[in-house]
Amino acid sequence: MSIRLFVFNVLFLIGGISYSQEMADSSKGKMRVYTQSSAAVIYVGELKVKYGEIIELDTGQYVITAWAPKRKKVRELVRVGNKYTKTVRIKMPLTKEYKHYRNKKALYEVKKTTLRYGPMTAFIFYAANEMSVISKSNENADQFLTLANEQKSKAENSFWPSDIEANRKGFAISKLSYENEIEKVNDGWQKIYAGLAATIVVNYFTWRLSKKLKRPNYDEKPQLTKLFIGPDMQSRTTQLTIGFNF
Amino acid sequence: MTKYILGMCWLFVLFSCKKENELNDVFLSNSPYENPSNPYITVVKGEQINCNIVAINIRINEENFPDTLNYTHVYIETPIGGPVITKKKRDIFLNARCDFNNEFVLSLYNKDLQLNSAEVVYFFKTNP
Repeated sequence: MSIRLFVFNVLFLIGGISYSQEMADSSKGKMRVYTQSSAAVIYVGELKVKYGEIIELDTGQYVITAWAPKRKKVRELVRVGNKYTKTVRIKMPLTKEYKHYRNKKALYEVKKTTLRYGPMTAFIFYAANEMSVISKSNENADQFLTLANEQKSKAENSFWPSDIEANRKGFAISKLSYENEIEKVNDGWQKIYAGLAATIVVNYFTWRLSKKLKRPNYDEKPQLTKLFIGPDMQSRTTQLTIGFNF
Repeated sequence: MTKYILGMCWLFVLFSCKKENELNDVFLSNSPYENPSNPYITVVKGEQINCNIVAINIRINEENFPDTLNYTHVYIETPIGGPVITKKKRDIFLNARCDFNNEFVLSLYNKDLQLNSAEVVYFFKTNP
């Protein structure tokens, strides 16, 4: 009887130990955290984790805290289930201050670029337009010159008086048209030179003005920066870690 | 900045050019056929047929105009009536005013193109 009782007790003890071990193993879960910014500092409770890294945790509720430069600090409550890998994706909106800075910086860049290159760009567009007119007038002038020379030759060599008269008139008209086109070409160049001179003067001042513009700054204090001392749970060793989160 | 502006100036100087007026001193000279020194037509003989009709013989001076000239007729304006357009060179009968110094204007004529050459004037005084 006592032997039976002993055997029973031994069996019960072995069963109890193995059950408690199994229970202890089964109360673990896994978790990984993805944040909108991969450069975020992430804490699961007091444990610092890396972006997308799988960590093993006891089952239960955890507060995930994440922060990244330019983004709001985010907290999220997550439950880790038994033998379950939880993937948490956290949205991290930009801070109001950063959005404001971003708009100011864009405005600064636009102002700076406009002051530096605006006058010359405007002049280039103007000059390109004038040059297309000049080019067209040049073509017309060449055509009228050819025509005038032909008509001159005919007027001076025609036999029939009516031909002579017609070619004389033609020559006079072609010459006049040629001279008008020449005038347009030279006027166009004069406008371009005047525009260039004006642009250089204006651009000199706007460039200097652009140097006086103040570039907006953006400063922020890291929100999850702190000195920590504790066990390194990620490497599953018993070593103690002393670190500083930036 | 300075390099940028100088670069722009250099580009414009490089590509710009003032256009010269090539016809500034070009003027027309007269065609040698407009007022020929030697006439194209010469009246070699003029004869009064009666008080109102004159007969003329003409010669075409072909050496005075280009070989390529394609005249078809001789055109003669008379003081009375319409013009006479003829291919004849002899015995060309023309209307005239009686007892008057008649003016006949002769020219070479291209009937297809209706073109007249420089004119030759011939006077003939008719007697009653």
